[in-house]
Amino acid sequence: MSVPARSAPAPAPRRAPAPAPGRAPTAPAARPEPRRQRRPAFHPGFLFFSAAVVTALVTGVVVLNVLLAQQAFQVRTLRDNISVLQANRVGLTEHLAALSAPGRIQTWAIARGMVTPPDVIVLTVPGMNARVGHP
Amino acid sequence: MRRPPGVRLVILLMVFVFAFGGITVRLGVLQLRDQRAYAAQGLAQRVHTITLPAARGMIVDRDGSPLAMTVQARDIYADPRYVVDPVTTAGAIAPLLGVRPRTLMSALTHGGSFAYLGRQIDPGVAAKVEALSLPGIFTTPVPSREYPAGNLASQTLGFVNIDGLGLAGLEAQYQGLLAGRPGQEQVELSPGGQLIPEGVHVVDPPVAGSTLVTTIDRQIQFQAQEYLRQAVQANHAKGGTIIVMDPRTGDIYAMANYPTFDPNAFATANANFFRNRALTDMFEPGSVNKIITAAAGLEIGGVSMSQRFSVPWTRTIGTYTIHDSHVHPVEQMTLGDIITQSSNIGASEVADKVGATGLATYLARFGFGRTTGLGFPSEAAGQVPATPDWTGTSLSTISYGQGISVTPMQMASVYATVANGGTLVQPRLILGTNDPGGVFHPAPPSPTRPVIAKTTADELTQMLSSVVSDGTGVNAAIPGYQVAGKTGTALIPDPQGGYYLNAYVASFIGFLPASAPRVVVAAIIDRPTTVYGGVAAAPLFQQVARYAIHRLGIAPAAQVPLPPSAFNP
Repeated sequence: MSVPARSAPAPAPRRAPAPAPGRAPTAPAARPEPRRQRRPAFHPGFLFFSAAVVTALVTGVVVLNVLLAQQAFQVRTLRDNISVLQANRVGLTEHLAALSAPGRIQTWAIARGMVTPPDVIVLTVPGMNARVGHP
Repeated sequence: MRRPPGVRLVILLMVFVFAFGGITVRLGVLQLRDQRAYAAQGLAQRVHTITLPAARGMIVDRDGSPLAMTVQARDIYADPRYVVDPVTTAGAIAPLLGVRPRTLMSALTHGGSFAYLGRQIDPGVAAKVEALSLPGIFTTPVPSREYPAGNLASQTLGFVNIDGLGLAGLEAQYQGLLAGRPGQEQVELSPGGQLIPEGVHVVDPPVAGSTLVTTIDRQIQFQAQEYLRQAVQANHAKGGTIIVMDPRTGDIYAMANYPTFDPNAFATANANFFRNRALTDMFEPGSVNKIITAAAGLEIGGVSMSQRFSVPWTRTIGTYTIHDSHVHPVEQMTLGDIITQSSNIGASEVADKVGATGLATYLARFGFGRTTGLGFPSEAAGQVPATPDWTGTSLSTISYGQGISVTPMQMASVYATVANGGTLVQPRLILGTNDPGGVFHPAPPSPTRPVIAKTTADELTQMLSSVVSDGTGVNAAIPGYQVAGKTGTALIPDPQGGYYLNAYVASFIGFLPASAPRVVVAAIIDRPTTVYGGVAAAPLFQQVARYAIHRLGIAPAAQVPLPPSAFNP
């Protein structure tokens, strides 16, 4: 008669014999290792959060770097602009000085028929600290 | 026979150990021992030091109008290695630079890596060159010194070379003050030459030069130059000098020489015109020196204003005969008459009473034989022989201004001393400086020293007024103002010995108003065909003094009395 195959039942753990009264206790028999349990996987939310943080940090560093570089270029450009404006200012000052030079004004005036007055009388006004005819 | 695997493994292990050991050692050498050297080498390849030129300070007149200033120009240069077609390139650039293409060809084909095509070019012209976009042609900004009023006070201002170093005049005298201190900028560049924005950037900013505020009045300077040019040309003279100054402060309003030059183009000018002859050239003053003889006569010669001298028209001293400018009988003259009529014989008679030591003392007290203290480059001290070297005629000839040499400024300073009541105020050209922050630092007042007594100065002023009202200087008179001054007509010494025939220096030096002097004008004409100071120089004095009246707002003042005269008792 055949019987369905099945695994042999695990032998019941033997109970350690109770120590006999008056006898020294003996070392307990080695216990079988407990079956290792699989560690639970990271929570997906944690993974997503970590990835977001790392991405944000990397992006932030890159953006900060780009911004700093842009600012440095802008500072450079502004410095150049200052130099150009200073040069323009000096150029305009020189132009103004040339235009107001007595020689140029005299030439301009003579070309328009102007003449210097024969006499300019300077008078001191009594009682006043001023002179009439002061240029 | 095959080696056991263990042996092969050991050998392989040894190979790896040696290989990695070598790498480790090399890394140690590079990273530890040579770390600094390699780091420095790497940094040197990337970090470039740029010199930041300091802006040269301006030179302005007493009202702040620029007389000299630094503007930005551009140098145009070529890297011939990249010039594709030298002929076309030269042909395109030459007309813009105003040079011949052949001139540029040598620069474009010489085979080096750098050649100037034009220096300190106007930015507008440089922009046109840049617009051509020619390969191998570049421009770079550079400072350029400009003199916006052209030849105005050019011999006083001087000029700088292409590297900004003052070579003459105030530009040379105040080089350290005007030049400032250049700075440095360290920047980090990529191998391609692009700026690394976050790299090394260290700036040591330049310190701009200070602005020099002169005592020059631009308007008076210009008019003085114009009138001087006209006077030199009208009198067919060789040249001339004019000085306008304030006797109270020593401020020089104008100092001009003719012929002159434009410092904007000094490289093409006649170098003989660079000298500021008012300070660097000496002349025998002639009769304008009689005022010193008169001062000495009054103070130590026992001469009084009413004392009469018997004056013939000639006088023989040893084998040498001196004479007046015109024939006249023996005349009775007061000291005032001697000055008014400019009698050489009368002056020599006054000098006899003073003596050689006394006259030499007064020449020295008025500043002859030493520079005026302006510190101007190449300023002459004049030549006054020591009394032991005086010949038998020296006392007489020096009494009327022959036998000594002075600069025009020294002579103007004599009259400024008389105008200032006998106190010499050292002439000055600088009112102060504006530092780069715009703060004005005034120059200390000019040193002063008493030369003659106030009463003596007043008596000399009376005599000088008489010169203009009744004497040789009537052409210097200005209606409404009492002018005090003296004419001079001096022989010019010949380096070969003796004096030139028919060559004279004509001068008129004076001040106004006589009772309250505001301005001293010294007019000196070199070798006029009209000969006399009263003819050639006095009208020039009058023109310049009239303009100074207008410009400075000088009001007429009370008249000083004229001195006693034997002609009009």
